[in-house]
Amino acid sequence: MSDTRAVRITINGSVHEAEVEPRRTLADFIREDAGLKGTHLACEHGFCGNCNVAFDGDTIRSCLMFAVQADGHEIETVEALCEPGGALSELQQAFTDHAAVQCGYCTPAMLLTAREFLRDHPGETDEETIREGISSVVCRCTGYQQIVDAIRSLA
Amino acid sequence: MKPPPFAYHAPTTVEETLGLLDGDDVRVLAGGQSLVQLLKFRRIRPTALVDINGVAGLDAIEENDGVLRIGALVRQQRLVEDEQVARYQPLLRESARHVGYAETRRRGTVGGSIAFGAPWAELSAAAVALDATIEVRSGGGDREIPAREFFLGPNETALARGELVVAVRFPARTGRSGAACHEVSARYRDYARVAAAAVVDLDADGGCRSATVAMLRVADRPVLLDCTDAMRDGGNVHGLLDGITPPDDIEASSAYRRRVAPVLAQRALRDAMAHAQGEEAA
Amino acid sequence: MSIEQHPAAAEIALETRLKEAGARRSIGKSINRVEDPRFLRGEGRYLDDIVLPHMTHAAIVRSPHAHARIVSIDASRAEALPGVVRVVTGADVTEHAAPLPSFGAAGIIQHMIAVHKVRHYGEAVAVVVAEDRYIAEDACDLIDVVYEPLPAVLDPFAASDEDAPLLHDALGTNVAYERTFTFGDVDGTFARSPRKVQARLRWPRSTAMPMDTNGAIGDYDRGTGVVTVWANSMNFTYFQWLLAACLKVPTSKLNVVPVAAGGSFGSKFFMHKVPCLAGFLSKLVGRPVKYVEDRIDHIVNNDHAGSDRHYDAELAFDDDGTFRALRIRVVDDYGAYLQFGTGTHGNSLSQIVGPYRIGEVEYSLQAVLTNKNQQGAYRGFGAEVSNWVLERLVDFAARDLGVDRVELRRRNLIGPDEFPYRTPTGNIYDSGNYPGVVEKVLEASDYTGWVAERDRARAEGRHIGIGVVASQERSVFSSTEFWFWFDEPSFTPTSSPESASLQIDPTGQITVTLHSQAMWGNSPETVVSQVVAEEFDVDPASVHITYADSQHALPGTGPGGSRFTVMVSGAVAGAAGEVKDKMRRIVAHKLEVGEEDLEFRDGGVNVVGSPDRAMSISDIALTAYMFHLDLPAGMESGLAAQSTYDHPLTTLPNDDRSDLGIFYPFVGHAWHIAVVEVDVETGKVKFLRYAAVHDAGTIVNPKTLDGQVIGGTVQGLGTALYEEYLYDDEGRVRNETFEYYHLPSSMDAPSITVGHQETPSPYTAYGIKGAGEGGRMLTPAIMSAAIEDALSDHAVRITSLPISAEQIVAWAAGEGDQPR
Repeated sequence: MSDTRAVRITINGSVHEAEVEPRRTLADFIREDAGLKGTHLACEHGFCGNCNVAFDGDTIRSCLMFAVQADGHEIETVEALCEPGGALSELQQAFTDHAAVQCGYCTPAMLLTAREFLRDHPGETDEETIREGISSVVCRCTGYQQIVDAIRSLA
Repeated sequence: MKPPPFAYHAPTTVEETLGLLDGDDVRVLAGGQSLVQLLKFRRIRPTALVDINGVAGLDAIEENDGVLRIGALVRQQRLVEDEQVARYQPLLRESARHVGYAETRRRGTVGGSIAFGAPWAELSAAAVALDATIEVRSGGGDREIPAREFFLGPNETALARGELVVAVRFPARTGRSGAACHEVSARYRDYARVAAAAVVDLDADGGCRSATVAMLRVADRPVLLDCTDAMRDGGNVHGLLDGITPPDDIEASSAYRRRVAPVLAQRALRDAMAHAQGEEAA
Repeated sequence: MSIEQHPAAAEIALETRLKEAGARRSIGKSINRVEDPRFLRGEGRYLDDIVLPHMTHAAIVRSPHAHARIVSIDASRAEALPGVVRVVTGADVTEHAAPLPSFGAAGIIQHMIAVHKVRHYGEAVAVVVAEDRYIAEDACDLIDVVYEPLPAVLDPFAASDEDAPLLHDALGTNVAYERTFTFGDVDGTFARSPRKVQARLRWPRSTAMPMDTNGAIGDYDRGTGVVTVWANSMNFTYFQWLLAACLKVPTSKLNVVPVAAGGSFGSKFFMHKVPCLAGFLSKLVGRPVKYVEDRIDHIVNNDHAGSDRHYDAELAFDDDGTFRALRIRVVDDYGAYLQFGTGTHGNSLSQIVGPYRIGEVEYSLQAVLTNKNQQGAYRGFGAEVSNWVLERLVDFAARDLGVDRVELRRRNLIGPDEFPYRTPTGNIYDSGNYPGVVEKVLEASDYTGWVAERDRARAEGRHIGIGVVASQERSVFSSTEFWFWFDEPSFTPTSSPESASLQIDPTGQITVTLHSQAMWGNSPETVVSQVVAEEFDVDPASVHITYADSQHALPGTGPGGSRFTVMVSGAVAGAAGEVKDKMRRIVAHKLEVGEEDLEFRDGGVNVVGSPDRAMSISDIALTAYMFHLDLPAGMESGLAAQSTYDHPLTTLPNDDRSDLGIFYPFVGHAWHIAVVEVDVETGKVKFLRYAAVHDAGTIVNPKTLDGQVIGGTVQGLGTALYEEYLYDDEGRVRNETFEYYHLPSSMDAPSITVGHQETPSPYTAYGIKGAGEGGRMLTPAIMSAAIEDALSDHAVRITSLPISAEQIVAWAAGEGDQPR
């Protein structure tokens, strides 16, 4: 019943190919088949946003998509934000400047979601609007404020 | 929390899809935002998923002769952003805004929401409020089901096995019209515990020609309220909700829903009216 | 009162006190966290990121019953599934392992996998080990378990009935503990006091719910007999032998390797089940086994539910508002096991009188077992609950007297000249300036402005409310709080140390090794870097931090009870001190000067006043390692030291327990003010203003401290408004996913103004006190106060949590009781 399918998924500009069961989630493909561990699983049922990745340029929940659905598409994960071992991007730097990281588990998702917010709302400084922009990602450590401050600093 | 195994098909035409839907315990995969959750919880174990994301011809938004036709694969986020939707039927934009988050709206589809029939689905309320028509196709033929007869219970619709929603038709608004959606949920954007979707149409003098509210979670299916008369009383709908017995469930009690429903309806009507009055004259 | 501090600790405290606070080089600076870069890159290396060759994956079969006998388990269909390595049940546990460690009463036995019966919904009944997690879960579906359901006890009052079904037959009762502690003449004082307020209060079960669940990888090496367990927790390194005992391996053959965790808030504190399970499974299958809880596993099968208490509490006071006595009766619904004994009440007792001068206290505790997953640690560890109770009584007293809630509190605050202050239980508060904090928070929040705004808005029919609450923030627990409950405890540890090793390599690079849990959202590496920078005047980012595994670990307790920053600072200061002594002796010898003439500056050691007469750290190090003949006579080569910093100030309880001794002495203080607006028609609450001022002694890093305060406050908000375990009549958890267990989002959390005050501790390195739990201690009390104030036209008394929208609507409609 569980046939496998060949998929080719571009992640952060590199093509990853594998034979996968249809039920293999995109999140598991990213973490296990592509070996990119920066995308995290916290609930695996779409409620916490910690697994957010960019799919053809827009963030989606990678735990609610199957790898076979991403065949031929382009994914970006947190690893795309800077070169491996390279300098932090402006957004990442803003996060550390504002102490927006504590345990780091939601951080990759927060970064991608924040990046998208800044793309779609350039110059936005209203706190409520920024809070709404990251409301889809649960952070249990920071209470959100320093994350909001980091994003606002880049408006 | 991994899904159970299933066979997977990715048809590219509606015909191919309909052929596949004939099997036992086959589910359609569109946005997947609700379906994949159920698979993760292993609450459903379909033998096959039919992924319709590659099926051509289901993602158009077209306005013709006063009808706004939304293809089943139109993503919910498009309802929020599309200029035709904003112009022709703002209630769709207002209700779509309340559906989850942008991440889930980018995958979730109009057809998927309608077919899944979740009791908290704002698009169900919009469809009922606007007297939408659901276009359905199957191997045995095509039919149209009025939205007001489509939702039969929580996650229960008039869709029969083997049928596929291909589009939903909404009346385009005529003249000055306003829309608003009000709901309460546990936290921001959780499942609505009670929701009200209101549409107000004005006549040429700016008076209320018609006012309609569809409510969620006050019965086992969306409840339609004709509030035109109530608008003379500032949108006080208390009398209209007298007969309802809202469900008691993990999210809210019947008593809470009874109290909050008229409040949300009134606020939705008030905002819809203000929205209509703020519009340019047609 | 004479207080004997631990000598080594006293030395460190004195030495750091001698340095002027203004002259500090690194401590007190808001440097960027040194941990951040790797987490920002997604290179955090959490437990689930680790992949070992031939690694298998485990999934558990969770009990669908809250209480049931396991009649039979047929795993044949599961074992036949391709990719399944082995199915393991309680029978394997009884044959090859011992029970999990516990500090609870004998007779309350917990196993990694249920043996003979299940005692809570979600308890593991069987475990599948397979090639991947998908297959493991498929196999779980194929295991046929026959249960004989037993009546479940879900209510501690019913559970304490003589005829109640027993959780543990060997115990003979569900009442695990019952005792009344009386400190002072409580009855007499109540009789003599003209006024009192009384309330029945309810704090239900919620849980810490970090984003990263508990996980471990076990790897048994048959050749050496060593079981290595990677786990996202390692506390009490000196108790690891308890885990070895469970696994039935010699204690020297267990090696626990700590791994970064995505949050804990207590829920990974002394984690035993998951690491033991992973180690056990790897022994059975002979391959590495990874077990990571999925979210449902975590919600229903974790060993760290928060407190679940029923209170009957009273406060006696005078007509002028002076508090006199406190009487607390609490029934605590602990769940099916009792891993920490009643330690959560030690946390309550450490600050039971809050910041107030209350002379007499009575505390009656009944700890009851029920068919729920057990309590453990959750930020506050029980003290946040008693703080809520106390602040509720104070608010009710203010209402009774018709006085301002701030004034009533101020009138009773312990004064700045009364420290160290001995509380009725015997625990002390080391230092404080409470009136200073009050002033700051009133100003930071523009309190008077908001009072006026509230009153104006009320006239318009809006429901604005203000809450003002205070809390103590005890930090650094002693081990005595786990056993002073008993007159004749079987095991009476008094150790709760922390260790650090500091090595300077031949090139002058400084490495610090920590000896307990790696980071889980606190900032251990930043703290260590700042302490090292303080001591040696080097760039904090140049310090390298590593974590010892348990085979190489010195005694360490790990984070808990807000102790880590204090204890790690003391350990690092101690190790740094030894290394610095050696360095001074080397430089004095080489430069032919007196040791007392030297200072550490700019990455070297120079003669005070003659910066050119210096040796760099790398020169000194190279000498130490390579040039033995250049060293003072008798000095060994090398440049490293290790230090075990014991709890600076612990004293024993007395025999009759009328004095519990000093067990939690470094106590901070905080006030929060919240202004909310309540929509009485929907029950939704909106924040208009939130200010928090915390005094946790010397601040190491203000920016990261703010993060702890804000994060803790928002977690407390979850407790106050959103979070609760919901059960059906048969004890099944109804909200076992995030569909219905709600965590605050960015839209629910307020914008918080954080202010600081620093009243150093006289007893700790640099005068630091712990602050990690603080915010959560206050939010439940403040939301209760603010919402009550907003509904002042309805004379509401909030005595249970969470405060739901439903409840608010019912009150506004004139109904006293919660409809649900």
